[in-house]
Amino acid sequence: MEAVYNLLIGLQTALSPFNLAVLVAGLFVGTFVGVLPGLGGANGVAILIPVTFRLPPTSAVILLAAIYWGALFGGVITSVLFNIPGEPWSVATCFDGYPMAKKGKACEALTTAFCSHFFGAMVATLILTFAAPIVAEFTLMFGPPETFAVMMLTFSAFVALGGKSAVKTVVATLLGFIMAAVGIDIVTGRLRLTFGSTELMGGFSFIVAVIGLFGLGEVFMTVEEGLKLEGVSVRMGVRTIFQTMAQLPRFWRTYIRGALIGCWMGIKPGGATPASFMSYGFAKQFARNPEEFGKGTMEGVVAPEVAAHAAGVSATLPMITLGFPGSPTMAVILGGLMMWGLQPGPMLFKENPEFVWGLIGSIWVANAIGVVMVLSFVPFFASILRAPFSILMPSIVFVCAIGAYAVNNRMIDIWYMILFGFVGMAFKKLDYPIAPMVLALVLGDMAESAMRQSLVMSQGSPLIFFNRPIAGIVNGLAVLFFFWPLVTALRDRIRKKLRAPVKA
Amino acid sequence: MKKQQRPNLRQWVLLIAMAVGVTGLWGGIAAAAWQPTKSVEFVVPAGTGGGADIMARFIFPLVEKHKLSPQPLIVVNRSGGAGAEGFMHVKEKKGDPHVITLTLDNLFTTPLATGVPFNWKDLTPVGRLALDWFVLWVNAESPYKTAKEYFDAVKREPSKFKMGGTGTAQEDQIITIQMEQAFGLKFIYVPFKGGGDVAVSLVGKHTDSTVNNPSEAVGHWKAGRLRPLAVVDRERIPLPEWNKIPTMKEATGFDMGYTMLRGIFMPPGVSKEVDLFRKGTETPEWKKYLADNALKPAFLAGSDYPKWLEEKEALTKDLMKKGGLVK
Amino acid sequence: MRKADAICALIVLAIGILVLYEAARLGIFGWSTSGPEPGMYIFLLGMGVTVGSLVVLGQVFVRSRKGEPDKPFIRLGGLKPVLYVSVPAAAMVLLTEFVGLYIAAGLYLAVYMRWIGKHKWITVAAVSILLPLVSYFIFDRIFLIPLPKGRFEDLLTF
Repeated sequence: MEAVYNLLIGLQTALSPFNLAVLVAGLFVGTFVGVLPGLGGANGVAILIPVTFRLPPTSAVILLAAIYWGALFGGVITSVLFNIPGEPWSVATCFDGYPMAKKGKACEALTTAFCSHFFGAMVATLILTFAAPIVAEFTLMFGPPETFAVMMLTFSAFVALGGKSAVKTVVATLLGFIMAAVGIDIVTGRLRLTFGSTELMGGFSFIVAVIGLFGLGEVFMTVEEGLKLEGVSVRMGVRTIFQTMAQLPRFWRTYIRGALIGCWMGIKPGGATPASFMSYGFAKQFARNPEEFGKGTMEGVVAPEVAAHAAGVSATLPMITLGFPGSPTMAVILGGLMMWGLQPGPMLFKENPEFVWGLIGSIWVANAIGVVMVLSFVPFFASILRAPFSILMPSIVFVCAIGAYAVNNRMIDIWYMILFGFVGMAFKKLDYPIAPMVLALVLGDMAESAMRQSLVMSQGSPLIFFNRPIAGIVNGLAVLFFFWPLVTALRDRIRKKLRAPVKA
Repeated sequence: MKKQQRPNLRQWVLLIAMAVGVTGLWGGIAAAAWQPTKSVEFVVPAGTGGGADIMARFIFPLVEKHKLSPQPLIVVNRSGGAGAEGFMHVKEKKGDPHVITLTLDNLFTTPLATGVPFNWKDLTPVGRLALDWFVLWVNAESPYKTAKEYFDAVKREPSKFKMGGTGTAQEDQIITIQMEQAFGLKFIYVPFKGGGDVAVSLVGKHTDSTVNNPSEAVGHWKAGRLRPLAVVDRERIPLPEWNKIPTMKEATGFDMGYTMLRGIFMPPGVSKEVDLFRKGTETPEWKKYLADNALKPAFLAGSDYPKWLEEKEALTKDLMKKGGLVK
Repeated sequence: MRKADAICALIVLAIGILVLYEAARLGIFGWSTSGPEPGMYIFLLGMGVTVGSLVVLGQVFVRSRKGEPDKPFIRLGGLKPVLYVSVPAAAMVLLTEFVGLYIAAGLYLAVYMRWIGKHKWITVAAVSILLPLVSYFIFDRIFLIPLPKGRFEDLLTF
């Protein structure tokens, strides 16, 4: 097969001693920027662009890509340790990762996350290697109606994220949609919900809201519960890592489901964040022990991590095959590509194959080295939790403030963060679920644009969501999953009835 | 948040700054070259991946490679309100030489369409980097070989053909309306968030045509997925391959021209003597970049630039009024 | 808890009404060739939130009529530590507007560690000076993300 041959050449390129050294350096920088909220892969790449002029283009792109892979690994660490998601796609990892860390199982949570990450990335890389052109065609089938259908499917995962009170779940979700609607109306081009304020024109940033609601909200909750001013005792060590790894194959269903969701969503149209939520929601819906989710179950860490990183890797595919960046980091890399005189887009595969295959080869090598590297850091990261709470707590607040500011370089965002901190605490106490709210915030804008664009296309007819094959099927699935709890309840009742006579 | 009403301190500082400025003028040092003392915020009033963003992200490594600035340019996207957020931000940074913005035509269209209190005269015009052409594209598998054939088909079935474009009441829709009025057509205009999405939607046959900029569609054209029908300008694009595309007049008999600004602005009250961009446009990398993306090399600075902007603004306003796009 | 629930619902109600008001400005009813009017989407959101908050208010009312036992919103003795964290945090942000994030954070760290954590002065000084300094080098110098410096910006840029 041609792909195998090309891949071998790519691997050979990536494994040359010089490129290997470049790759490890990139992974280090990437993990570092990924760990710090407010710094992301984009910053790491931007800072090293000048260095890349002294490297041959293939080494240069390996360096930049390695930063990207490293940053993907790093994003999860703060979610697990402090409930502060370093990147938007790590939000769902907080749901169970942080409760695990709170129970003193930070080491297990991190190991689970990294291994799941590795698995997701590898599945996506396989697809990237052997099916890139086919997948690119698949991507093209997704227009606005299909995008909307996928959003609906993601929303059906809401059902699993709901709180105790149905009304409050609805209210929290709608508040998320309202926040997402602030800004400009794409169809009419008019400003809405800005009330004449420049600050509101930019809308509410997802990551700022999440740092406030989760990170700061958690700090407030913890002090209110009267946690002692000392660190959590953490079980750690190499043995813990291996013991955890041995438990992972049990979740093979979640692994496969998550990887598939991730690959699909990463390519088109949602991206890593919806993928992680969708995977988490479905894992909970289909789990035997759904009540354990949110309290620190390993499966709740596996699901979002697998999907997010499968999506993160497969997001490179649109850039290589179609020439548009799937993420800000990719946008920066794109600028670099053009600086080296490469034209991103469908011709890259044909005109610069050595470059593309070098990049794909580097994904294989980078993830293999990366997982070993971050796993060896696990005890170190986990030991941070041993620091006295009275030092850790104000440091967390400081880091949160940096993270909130750096998203858009706006002072107002730090204020929003404090505000969201209080909202997060109040909502948690009053049983308003936060998860559907942030999911609505991140998807609301995308879902609404897709819906309105579709209606413009069909001249106002809602039939467009059902008479196109993919849109129809996905919408049908969404409805099915939305009523899944009802279906299972019904099934259980029928079973009971069937058994009842036997018992009687 | 009422942040607009800052104490008078700022006004005082401004007064002093102005006094110093006037004194400086007498001393003949007002035209002192731009010397940033800290990293420069390079504001892109658009999202990541669009034309303005990609150009800014290209300029960043260019500046680094040729040491064009003593301090790095940091690209910051402020895309809220179709760019209004970015413009207002730069406007508020009065007298700060560490803020630069790279704008497209949304400099004119956004305030007109949204009523945001902003006009380009609120900023310091530094230079025009290039102009962007518009090309009428259809899917390569569609039966239309010329613009005339396509327009005839659209005319036969009004409100059936979908024109994809970036945003609402922005340049793509202005051109669409111009075409509709000139040829008596009716398109369904479908707004997307960025030029890349627009091109992909055409390749995927979710729309029937686009007026994408060359850079947004060139890859798909080379891959044989899209077909250019006409350039929306009075002259052909003087680049190999591109020069085979006829102008609107050649293709349809109707003279039509629209090019888009890619201009540099700074906050009000700073010196516009920034030689960084002039030097940048003379580098071989820049020239290759323009050729690769089929951008019109049209560097313009000094007093001619505001004059050109004035004309461009009047033209845009006129077209938007005719199209019923002014709020 | 009930009082807090009611207050929260009232705030949500206010947001809902604000959204409805904005929807009315944009035009709500009608379904044209470009789909619904621009205000319809946010009208539906505003309506949902308004109705939802009223239902929550109703539930609170019913529960208090029934005389169900109520839990306090803030655990007894829990208020003080929350204030100890939140008030200095808000003060830090306010201070940031004037002296910048680094100095504000240094002071915040010092105050919290000394008065709440009762750490030794040497630890306090080390953390509250080193952490902002390290952050300064990471963000402002290496990654070129200028964090806010407040009014004294020019004095601090070196």
